Amino acid sequence: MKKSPYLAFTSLMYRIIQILIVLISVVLGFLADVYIGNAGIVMLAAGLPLILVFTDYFAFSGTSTKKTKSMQFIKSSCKGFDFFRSALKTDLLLKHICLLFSFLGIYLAEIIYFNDGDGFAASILLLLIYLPISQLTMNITLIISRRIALTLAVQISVCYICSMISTVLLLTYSFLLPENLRDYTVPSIISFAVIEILSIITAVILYKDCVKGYVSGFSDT
Amino acid sequence: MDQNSVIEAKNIIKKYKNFTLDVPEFKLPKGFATALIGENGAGKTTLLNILTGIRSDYQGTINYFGKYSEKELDNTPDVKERIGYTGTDNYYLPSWTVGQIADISSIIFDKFDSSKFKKYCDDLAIFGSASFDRSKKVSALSDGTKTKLMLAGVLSRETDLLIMDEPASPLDPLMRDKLCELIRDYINSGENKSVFFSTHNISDMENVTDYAIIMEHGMIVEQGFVEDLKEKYIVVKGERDDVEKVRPVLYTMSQSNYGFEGICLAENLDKLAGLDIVTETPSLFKISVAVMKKNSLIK
Repeated sequence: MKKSPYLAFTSLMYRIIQILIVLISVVLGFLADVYIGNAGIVMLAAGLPLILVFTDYFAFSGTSTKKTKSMQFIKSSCKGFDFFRSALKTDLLLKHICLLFSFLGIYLAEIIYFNDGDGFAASILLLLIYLPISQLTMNITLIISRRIALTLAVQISVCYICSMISTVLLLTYSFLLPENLRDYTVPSIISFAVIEILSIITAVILYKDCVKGYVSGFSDT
Repeated sequence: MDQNSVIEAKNIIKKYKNFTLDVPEFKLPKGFATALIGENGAGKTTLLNILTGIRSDYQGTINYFGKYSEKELDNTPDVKERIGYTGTDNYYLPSWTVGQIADISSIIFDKFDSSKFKKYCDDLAIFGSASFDRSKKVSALSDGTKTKLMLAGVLSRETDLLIMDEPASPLDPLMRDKLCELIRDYINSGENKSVFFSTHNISDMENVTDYAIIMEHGMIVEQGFVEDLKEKYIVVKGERDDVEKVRPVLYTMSQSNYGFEGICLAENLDKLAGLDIVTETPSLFKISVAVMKKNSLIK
């Protein structure tokens, strides 16, 4: 029986590590909140996507390096890129589910431990918006930034930076910004969100085109 | 479209910063093993990548199997299903295991036979004296073994055309001999099966080569059936005293204390009439080196 593209593409070790990250994140997140408050959660939110991207090297390592010669094996099949896209989409989806469960776990732990999750709920929701966007952009950046025009890499970087700024603004909204600046925060966030979404849509369209051809900038004659 | 060609291309142009591949006309003969010969950087890999559809940023038109255009390469599964391609190093992702390669191949190729793959892995001693090991990682294999793995993968499919980029280079002499045997078996396994491979190991691959294409600086400078090329060119040997007289006629020449040896066009042999020379039929290696030397930038 044929395996699913995701199961064929990724190793068992990679999939186990993905689950372990969820468990470790829940524990770290909870401890961070207990000992250093919301700042710990912010650090975790910024660090977790990076950890997940780092684990990509177990499964998708070759796809982001020049050494792979632009995935010749996959390109030699008509179904190759559908297969690759399917594996990548499943991986991204599972990553987001991992992140979702991580933060839901933290939230539940907060409620159980402190018997008070209301104040924390807003932050969690905002993080849940931030993390998938940043995760998506970082993955796309890693995979295609070496293969496509510089302009697209810059565009994706802008998207990621916007995402980070939005998060910082959102998280500082409630307890850091002076009252007179708070009115500008929500419009800023909406603007950033629009830029992010447009960037992602453009990136995905260009990504689809670029993987069809051989668009790396290096010569291997 | 020439019915005797498995691939026919016209006006292929691919420009790099300091290099241009320019092939006005290209025909790959059906039912034969064709060698693509040329210096490093001659454009062999680029041409192979274009023909296999791995590279699509070029100008020109290509016809496959007498009925499919290059635009149908990605839309019509039949075309890529019929073409087996092996690349150079890191063709498979280094993090993959042999088991993953078998699984992925069975997903992306309709006519991949897992049991054949296992058999080829055993026959080619990919795991040495050990039995088939699904958990063996590609990154743990030597360059030669990676090439064997690629061969096992591509030969486990039902294809009509094999395109191979430098398959002989990482292999030891014994395995090169086996490669020739595999190519010959493949061509004999069905009607109109064709093989196209690039190589620097001309001598080792000569006995399996029916047709040769020689490239220099992104252009095809010579091509033809090996037997025809052997009639077109001739090896000339003679006395040292005649060196200056033969120099304008010969493509290439090497001198020793005893005399000279070179290659010229057989049609120019009349120009050497009266000289004390000996002629013999050249090998494909000698023809290739002579043609490459004539066109090379190497001084």
